[in-house]
Amino acid sequence: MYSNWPDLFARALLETLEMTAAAGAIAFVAGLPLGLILVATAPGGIRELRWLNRILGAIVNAFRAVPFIVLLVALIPLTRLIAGTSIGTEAAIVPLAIGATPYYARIAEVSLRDVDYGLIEAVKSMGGSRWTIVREVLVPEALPGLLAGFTVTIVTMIGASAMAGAIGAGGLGDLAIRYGYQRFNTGIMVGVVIVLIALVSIVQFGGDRLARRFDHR
Amino acid sequence: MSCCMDWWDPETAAFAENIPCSDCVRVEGDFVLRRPSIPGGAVVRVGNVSKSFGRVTALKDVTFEVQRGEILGIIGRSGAGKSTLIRCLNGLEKPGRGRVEILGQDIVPLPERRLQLVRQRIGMIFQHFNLLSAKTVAENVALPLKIAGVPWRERDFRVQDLLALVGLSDKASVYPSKLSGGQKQRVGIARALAAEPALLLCDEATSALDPETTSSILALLRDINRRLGLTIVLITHEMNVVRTVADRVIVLDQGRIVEEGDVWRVFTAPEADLTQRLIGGQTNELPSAIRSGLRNEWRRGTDLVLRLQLSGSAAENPVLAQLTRDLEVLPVVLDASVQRVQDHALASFTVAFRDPGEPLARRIGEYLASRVSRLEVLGYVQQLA
Repeated sequence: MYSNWPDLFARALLETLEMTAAAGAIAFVAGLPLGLILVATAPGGIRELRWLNRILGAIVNAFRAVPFIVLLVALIPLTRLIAGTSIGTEAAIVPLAIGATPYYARIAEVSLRDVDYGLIEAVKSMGGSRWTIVREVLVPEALPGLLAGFTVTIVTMIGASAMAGAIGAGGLGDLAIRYGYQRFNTGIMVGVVIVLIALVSIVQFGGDRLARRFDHR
Repeated sequence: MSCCMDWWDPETAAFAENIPCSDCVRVEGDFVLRRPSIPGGAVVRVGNVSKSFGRVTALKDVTFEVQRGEILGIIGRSGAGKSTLIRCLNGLEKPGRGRVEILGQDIVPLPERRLQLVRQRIGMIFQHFNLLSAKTVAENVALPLKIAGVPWRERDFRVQDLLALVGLSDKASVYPSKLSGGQKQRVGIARALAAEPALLLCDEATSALDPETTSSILALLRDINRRLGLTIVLITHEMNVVRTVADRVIVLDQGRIVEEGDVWRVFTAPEADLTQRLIGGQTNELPSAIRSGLRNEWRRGTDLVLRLQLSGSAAENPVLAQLTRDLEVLPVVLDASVQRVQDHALASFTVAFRDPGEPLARRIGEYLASRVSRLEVLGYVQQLA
């Protein structure tokens, strides 16, 4: 049992990486447009639409208010519908992505809202359409913030993925609970914590560098 | 090679020989006249425009025209409605009432899509430059061309020409944050000119710049106006800006036009109170010792103090010397200045005559009244010096 601990760690790390990478990609692809819609439809935005802004805002708030462990269980029927199963690493991607999307949407919204309105006006004065404003102004100007926010989202998701063990998804958190806590193996527990610290540090370092590279302000 | 405009200054034409004027477009290296003449000669025609924000009236019944190739300065204090007015000219703001015609087309009722096409023909520069920080200088200048659907190969050529025009060829691949304020505004100008606009709007374009940079930007605007025949509307709160570049000026106060005319005329003979106050700091003041001793009525032994202004060609006449010869009086100059407002001279003198006695004082007044542009009897003062 203890002789194969490198295998245990490797497998758990891989599962964690798979869950966060897949769910993170979905959260980015879905959360950024959601953040853009939130900014665009807000009062004074480029396509003011108060009712839509209010509805989306309420949905985002609702999802953000539910604790992830509750979301994980509550979404089991949906997970089964999408992933075909409600157990395992792939199945955990669904609730993780659904939980992270509104989270990232809010973070993206903050960055996008910080873009100087003068820049939007400048492109408007050139005859740019709304889509041009999104493509040439909002996203490129907010990019450093969008990347930094995405880093925060990924780090949060690494933490959240620990709970995915509850539906048999495995991962580092699951390893720590089952071997470290339930079997009183402090060595495994400490090991998991060290791996998590390393993982988060690498993600944060990479994210910071990427954000700096696109920052020309 | 040059475009349809053959009056270019040969010295500077080489500098921008690849830039077509606002009527021409470059097709495969040749200049082609693109547009027929602009209807009525007016690029902008604003009719009875009013605009209010809630209860605050920003513009009230504003009517004016901007002729092709002219530089119109709109001046006023902050809150006078200048910003709202200039933003009505490219539809960034919709007036509550009235017409805004650009090249003969009323843009007020236009839907957003059509408005975007009109805006592609109107360049705009801003007080805070509004350059995109994530794009290089060249990418910023190329953006209006991208929006207008110009293929990238052609974009490249034009960007090079435009950067040469504003003297920033070596900064093409630099990000705006590395530039000085003046350089940023030059990029702003190049960007505004990229899509060969028929009209350039300047929204407090020099207000964030130091005086030296301001003059170089104003010189560039004047140069572009002369060379490309570009029509320019600029708003500012600085009298000096209007005086340096504008042909005509509109003075805006609380959303109304209080004065309008050629810059030299408004400067030499301001009519509205506000205009006089705006220019006020630039005309001469009487020394306080004399001002406090001035009286309206003549008494024995008092000196006559007059202020006279000579504008235009009259400023070149030796009026005071003639007066001395013809009436044999000796004027003492208390204050004098000669200003030039776009080739129109404005001379103003404050002079005193030693104890002239009443009949002579009247003769001096009559003599001068017919020879100067403006005569003001300031009064009589005891014991001048």
